[in-house]
Amino acid sequence: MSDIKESYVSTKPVTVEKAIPVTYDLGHLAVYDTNPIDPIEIGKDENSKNDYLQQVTRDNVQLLINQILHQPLTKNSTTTNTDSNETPITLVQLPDPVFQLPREKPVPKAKEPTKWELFARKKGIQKKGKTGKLVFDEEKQEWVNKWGYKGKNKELDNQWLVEVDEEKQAAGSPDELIDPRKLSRMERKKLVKKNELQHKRNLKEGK
Amino acid sequence: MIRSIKPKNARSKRAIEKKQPKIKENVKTVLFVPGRSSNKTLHDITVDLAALKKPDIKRFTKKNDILPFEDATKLEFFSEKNDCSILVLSTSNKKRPNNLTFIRTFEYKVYDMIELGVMNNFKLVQDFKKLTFQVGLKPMFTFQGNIFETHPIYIHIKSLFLDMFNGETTKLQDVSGLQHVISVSAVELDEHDETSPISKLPIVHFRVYKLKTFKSSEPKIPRVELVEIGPRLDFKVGRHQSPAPEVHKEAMHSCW
Repeated sequence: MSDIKESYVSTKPVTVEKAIPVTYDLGHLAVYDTNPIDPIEIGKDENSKNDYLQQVTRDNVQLLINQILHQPLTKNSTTTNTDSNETPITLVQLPDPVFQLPREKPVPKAKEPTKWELFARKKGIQKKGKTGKLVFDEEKQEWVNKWGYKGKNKELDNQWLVEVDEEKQAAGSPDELIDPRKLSRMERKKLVKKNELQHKRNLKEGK
Repeated sequence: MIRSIKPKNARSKRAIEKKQPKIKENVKTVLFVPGRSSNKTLHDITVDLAALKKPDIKRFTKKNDILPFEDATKLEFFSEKNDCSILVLSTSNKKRPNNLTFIRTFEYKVYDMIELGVMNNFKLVQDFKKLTFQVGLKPMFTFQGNIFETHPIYIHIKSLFLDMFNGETTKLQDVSGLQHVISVSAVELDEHDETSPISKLPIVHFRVYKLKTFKSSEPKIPRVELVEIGPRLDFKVGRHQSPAPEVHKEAMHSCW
């Protein structure tokens, strides 16, 4: 009995005839049908009414599915799978939605360029990114970080023998008896503090 | 009234950044608030509607004494505190039984409101066959009836349902993820003048179906059959409030 039913269903068509053609909004996976809903059918008893609505909906969903499956496909391999064999899944590319929905928050205003950004733009200075981080150390004959973790700018901190700089630590100046390593560290920290101050200033100006 | 928190670690900083205005917005979260006169029916209907929208929901359990059309400040506070831009308030009294008020917010202030009264011929999910779909899938929509293109209240209803049950807006959609359909229908308006009293506005029929595909005459396109999974709700349109023109313009300001 179920076999006969299956074969009957398999010969049913996938095309649908509509008096007024429907509009598709594939960005929202929606279909808008302007054909009038029969008020007589709606006025009947509950079962007839729901059967009628289900029938109309089925036709519209069929049209929608037909339209969706006609969209261009992209084959993506699921990279989120942890098992070794990646099963390729077919995705359908959807266009932008037609019906516009209201936002929940206003559009963020674009950030004002900071003083440095304006200067860099004027002078044509490009950001270095990670390319300028490694420096070739002649003594060790290998590439080390210029700054950051095990950076070359910190090598003075751990040297066992440091020369006293004549200019900065002259005989009568207040810096005379301070460890030169400590002095270099203090200078580095001063630059960090200056940068944080400038960042705060930028944020204030940005508001 | 809401404390502005200065982030002390990366996790709280990320939480704050999630709530900031963005060009491509997050999925809207819905907050279900039971009103002072909420009853068991409304509670069950709320649970069912929430199931359609999981996981982007929040449900309050305590009753709240709020009258949205008179004073919406409490709702605006809830919206801001919970970062939810759609609120559903359930109330019931003699004049308006089993009422659901859908409120949308823009910038945590009321944008538009509409009252939809659930009629007595509703059916809950548990009354249908136990067929469920995976949580978080994007539903398909069908809107049947010319009134959804012409009448401002019904355009509002269409916008509301699309907004609420829409998932994430993506460009790519997995075909196997198309499992359920939300169908909204309404007959034509009887009179030709739009100043008809509210009681004459046609009923909105809300249905949810699950898809069943069968082999068909064409090779690549399946024959689609529907199985109703619920909830089955018929809404009577009540009061509504449209957005102010400037707010409307700002909210519709698109960046695509």
